[in-house]
Amino acid sequence: MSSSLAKNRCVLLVDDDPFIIAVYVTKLKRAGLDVESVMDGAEAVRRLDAVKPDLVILDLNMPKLNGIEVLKHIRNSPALAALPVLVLTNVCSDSVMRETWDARPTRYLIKRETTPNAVVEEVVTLLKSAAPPAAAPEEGPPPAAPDAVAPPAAPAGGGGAPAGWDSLIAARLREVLAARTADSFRDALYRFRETAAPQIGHCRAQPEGSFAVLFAEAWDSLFEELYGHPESATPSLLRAFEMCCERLRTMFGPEPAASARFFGVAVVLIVAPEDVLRESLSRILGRGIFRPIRVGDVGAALHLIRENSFQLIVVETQERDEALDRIQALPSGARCPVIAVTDSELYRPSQKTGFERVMKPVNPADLYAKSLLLVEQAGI
Amino acid sequence: MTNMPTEAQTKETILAEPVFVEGILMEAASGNRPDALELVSLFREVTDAAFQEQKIALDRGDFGAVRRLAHRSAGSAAACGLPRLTMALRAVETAPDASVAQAWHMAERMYGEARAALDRFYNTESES
Repeated sequence: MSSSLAKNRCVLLVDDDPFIIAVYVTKLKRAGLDVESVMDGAEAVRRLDAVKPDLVILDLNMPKLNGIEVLKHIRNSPALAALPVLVLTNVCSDSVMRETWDARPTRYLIKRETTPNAVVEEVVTLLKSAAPPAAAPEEGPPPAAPDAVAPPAAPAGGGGAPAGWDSLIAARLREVLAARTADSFRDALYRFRETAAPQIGHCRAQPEGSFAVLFAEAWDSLFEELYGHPESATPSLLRAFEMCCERLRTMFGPEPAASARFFGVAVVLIVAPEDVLRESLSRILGRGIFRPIRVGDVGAALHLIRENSFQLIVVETQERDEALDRIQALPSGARCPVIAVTDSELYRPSQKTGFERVMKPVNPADLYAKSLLLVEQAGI
Repeated sequence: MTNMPTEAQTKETILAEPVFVEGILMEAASGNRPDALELVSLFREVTDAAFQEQKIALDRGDFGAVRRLAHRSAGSAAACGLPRLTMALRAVETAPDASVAQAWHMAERMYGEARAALDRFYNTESES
């Protein structure tokens, strides 16, 4: 976290909450920064000249003078105008965000959608790219012009794309996958959701029917299942969660994956000899973009596959029962993505070949997410 | 027209959140146990006082002050790893005047629950 480029820089922290001040003073000092803190806007304006901070962390809702007024004061003072200001607040109403944005903050972060570590990381990044300390103005890059401020990170569901699916989100996901106890698993899941909330919210806010929305919904279901029932976190379900996260990740970054809208339906052939399971699979895939057709025996399935085009085949299979082999031996069966519903470890999933496995007992969120992923991947 | 959630929906949303997520507190304390204990002490002190202030404001019918104070406490609660209390305080912040008292009493109960979880954490960690 700490960086020599950021060391010995001074941060002015403005927040009326003593607890928040305690948290951030400790963390910023650990990152090698000098920190001054004040608890209201008027005091912040008074201290700016004396402290000469390299960056200001500014709350909005404060007594005496609110954060927007402090920000306007900074941007209207020639000596301070280029100062990086990171607004850190829980206020995220449209009107306040607009007014704040008009006052040109460098960054706008919502406290409950970020973490202290992420904030400190952002501070260090901003300090590295901002002007050098006042004592050595001849070194380093020129100060950023006030017009060059970056747009604020959008809150969940907001209009603009939030920052990318960064290393912190990836690290949080690794914590989820590495958790060993139910408590640490839920803990890690919760923190992952908090960290990735702006990105997932951004996907959720895309046009209705787009894959971004469908995957965000699938992600929600997987999260609810895993968080509500950590005992259900089988390798099969965790793989679905990881795959879904990976798909959402590709919607960010320098070359974000397109989020096409899905028109029409994906016809799914469900092959399951057992009545109850067949009905259950059919119900799970009886919503959204899927239209299930179900059969009870492999012979009937082979006939249908020869005569029709399916976008996905879901087949219940036991070890060595050959149902899967017979389906995939057909030219049209081999081209179609397949999900094996099984209790056998024999079948190894492979996204490359469009083959996935859902372990019994079938978890609806697991089957739905994998079906969605395979159908999209097949480009249907 | 804004679709305000019903009281039952709000309550359901609040109760769906976990009481205490230790990992968030530990992150705030940079993984340092003594710092985490200090933060817990500070949080209890600050939030006890804040709830007293909120009660006084509520008794005199100053709903604006109750909302402002709840907003501040919600920020602390989120940083301390108390999502359920955070959500309850958010409900106070957004409640119309007629519902502020009810929302605040819910938040007060959630604070009792959160404080008990923090006390347990504090006692366990102080002993170890």
